[in-house]
Amino acid sequence: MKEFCVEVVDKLRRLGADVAIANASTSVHKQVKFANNKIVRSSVEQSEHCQIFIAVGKKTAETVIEKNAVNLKEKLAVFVALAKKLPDNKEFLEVTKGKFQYPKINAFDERTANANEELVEIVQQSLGGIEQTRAGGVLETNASEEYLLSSAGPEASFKSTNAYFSMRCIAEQNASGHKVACDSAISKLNAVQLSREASNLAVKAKNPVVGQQGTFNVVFDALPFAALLDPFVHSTSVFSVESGLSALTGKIGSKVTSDCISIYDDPLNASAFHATPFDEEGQPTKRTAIVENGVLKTYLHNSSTAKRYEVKPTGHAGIVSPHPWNPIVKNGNSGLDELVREAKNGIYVTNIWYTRFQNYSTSDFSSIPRDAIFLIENGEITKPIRGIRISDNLLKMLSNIKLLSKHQRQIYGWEVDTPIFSSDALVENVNVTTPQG
Amino acid sequence: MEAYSRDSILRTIAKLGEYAEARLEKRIVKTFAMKNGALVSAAAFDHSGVGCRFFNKGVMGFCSTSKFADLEKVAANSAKIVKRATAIGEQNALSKEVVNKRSYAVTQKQPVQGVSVENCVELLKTIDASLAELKVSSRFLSLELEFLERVFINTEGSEISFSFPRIGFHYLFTTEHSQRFWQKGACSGFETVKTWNLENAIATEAKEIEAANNTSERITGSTNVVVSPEIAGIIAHESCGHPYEADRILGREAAQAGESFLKLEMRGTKFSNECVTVIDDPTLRGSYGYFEFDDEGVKAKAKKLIDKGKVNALLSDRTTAAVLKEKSSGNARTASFDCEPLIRMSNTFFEPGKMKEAELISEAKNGIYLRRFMEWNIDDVRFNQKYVGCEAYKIENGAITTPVKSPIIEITTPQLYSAITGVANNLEFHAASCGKGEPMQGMPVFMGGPSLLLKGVNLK
Repeated sequence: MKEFCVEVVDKLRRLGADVAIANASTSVHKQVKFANNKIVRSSVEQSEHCQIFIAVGKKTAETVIEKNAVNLKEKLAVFVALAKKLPDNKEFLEVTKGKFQYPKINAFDERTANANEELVEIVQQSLGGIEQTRAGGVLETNASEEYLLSSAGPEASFKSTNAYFSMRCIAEQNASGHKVACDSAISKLNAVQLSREASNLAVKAKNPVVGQQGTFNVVFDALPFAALLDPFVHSTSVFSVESGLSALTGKIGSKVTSDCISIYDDPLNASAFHATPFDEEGQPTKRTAIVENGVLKTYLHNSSTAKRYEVKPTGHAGIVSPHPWNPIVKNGNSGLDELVREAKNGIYVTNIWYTRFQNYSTSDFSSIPRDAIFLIENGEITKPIRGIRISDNLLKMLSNIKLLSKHQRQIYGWEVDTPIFSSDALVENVNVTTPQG
Repeated sequence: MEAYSRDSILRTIAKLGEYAEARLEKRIVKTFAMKNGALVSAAAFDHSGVGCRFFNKGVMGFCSTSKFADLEKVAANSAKIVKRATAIGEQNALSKEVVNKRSYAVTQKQPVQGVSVENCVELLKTIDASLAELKVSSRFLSLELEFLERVFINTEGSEISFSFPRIGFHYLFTTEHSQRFWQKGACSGFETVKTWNLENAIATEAKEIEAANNTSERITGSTNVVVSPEIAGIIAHESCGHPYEADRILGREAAQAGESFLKLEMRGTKFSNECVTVIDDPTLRGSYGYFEFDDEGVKAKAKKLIDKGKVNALLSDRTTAAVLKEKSSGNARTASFDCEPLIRMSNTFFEPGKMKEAELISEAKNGIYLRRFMEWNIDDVRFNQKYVGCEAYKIENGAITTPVKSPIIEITTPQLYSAITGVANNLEFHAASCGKGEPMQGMPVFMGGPSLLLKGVNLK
């Protein structure tokens, strides 16, 4: 891959690019999907390509080249010619310059990279451990290798693996439980234990009554709490702020959540699903405080946006749009039982889905609790309910977080596309609605 | 596309099981994005590869690679997993379908492959300028041009090759009192972009939405609602198209997109008033969800999901059709060579009626006219749904009058469909990118309908 990147950057420079960044990667993704307690599909997908960014003066362009591309020189020539026809990108100022020592992250696990038939065995064991329920989900692994070379100096490589497990158990209509796990290593997923938890939730959720609308204290399991945090962390990208996709405009240094919330982006964690020692410009990544004790500390930047805002790059390129890698919420000190006790009367939500905003710049939104939902009465989890919707304002909800659990899980999945180390959370005064009578 | 030997690929995949199919694909893409007047992204690339799905003793496997030469190696890896999975694998059968050998293409007056960079950038600049004039503070515009060539072959002898252009345009603007995110799309050459009249249409939309939200008046309680074609479209998509997908009903997507309130035994039963018919039709030329043969090689056709108020046809593919002991409805689609085909909608819409929209409004007498929406969602069995207007007006004495702020419809699917008492003739289609599968596959679709009259809806 190094030779390919060297060839690509060299050719682009000769063709007139002032800046050329080549980011080559190969990956193998495997998945076993199951439904109705049977494996419904097994897949292996292999990909090799090179992402390229160039700047010709202030004209910027991107492309992707297959590593086995024929007529490489002609393709690159067409690409540079296209870039020369563009207007200047007035937002582009620079890319990361210089040579760096990159943090060493041990995020490559041989067992995960080589897992093949083992995926079936893990699914089989997981299905064997559940009772009285019908199960569906996926187990997947990814092994990738990346090489980045920038004409501005950075040169870096990284090998990583990750594994993801999702198990949804259905006891009957309106009674289900869903658990997910992700890590850089398949051995850390605890798939069998998670499956039992999902199954137990489903059984406990049987015969739910229709929920009521009103204002409630809500205890969110780590899974739905991560799904609430996902749009929040995305809104810290300066691209989101400038596009209207964020309610955090002008709020650096202001309280944006409750005091008990601190969120760091930490792609250097060896267990991180999206671990990486460098960003798309080759800027070394680091642990970044996004929110500390409720105060917004920074937007996520690349080199150009950092220069515009007169701050240091945060290592979050996205040369076009900076983005979070793998946030972690600082955990609390409580157990789930304490959160429930503190809630006194309210609702315990184990999953949410289909989060949509009326206005991203104000953070008015709604989301639908899915799977097991329970009432909390007099400080205890009691009967299951169904048919409710969270209809509220995200920043208001984050400001009403009262407690976080000590126990954390790394969450990723359909509603959480940026993996987050999440806790259970008690949020006070959440607005809940239901469909008309 | 990378040079390939059809026979060599067939020989490779035939070894994998009793049935196999391959999709070879090349996609040429150009995208441009403008944020607050700055061209922040211009990308051009082509992406090609081959994906193969196979059944070994009924158990399904899938593999893909961007290098045709690696297909055998990747397939062998997948076959090992499938072999190990046999003991707990779902035993699939495939519905018997006609073997088709066809080639088709979409005719373009202005081919997307040849549209100049200058043309694309000028378009974005003009639209952005029209919004900036209105002092719209945040503006994001994105133009996507794609030319897709795909060949489908299977071990039964089917071979379908086609080439499609697709054009897509997304926009997000934030005004003082509101925000709007919407899109346009078509399976056609660039000539369609002129018909969208984006330079004027989006600025007009921004003015109308801002004016409609510069009010504090709200309406709640039971009332009559006339929804525009845009709202009818999202209703058809979310609470008819999706729950009628057979893989949801049979539990195959339970952990992802969810299941369905609809049960097989509900077919033929009354679901809505007789004025309601909902159709899914892939064959509409130029539509965003257009195709003539699905991604299993089955000929596409229009089907009525709801027919005069009754549950009628489901959307299926060959594996679910086999379970249902029917022919496939021809709705298997894949977003890319590296994804398995799933049951997807194409162009899903309420069949237009005979009334004029003005007649619906007159019949409503008093209520609201819901013209555009921003927030929406629906639960994973497609039962409990919500739509929040971003442009809405009062109806007073049978005429549209003053704006109302963000009316909220939060309702169950049976309640909503029972409330439809009038269907207008002003059919419109709106582009969307529908999400399904794990990993997620975004699929271009049209959702549509004419304006609808709903009686006795409780606004929140």
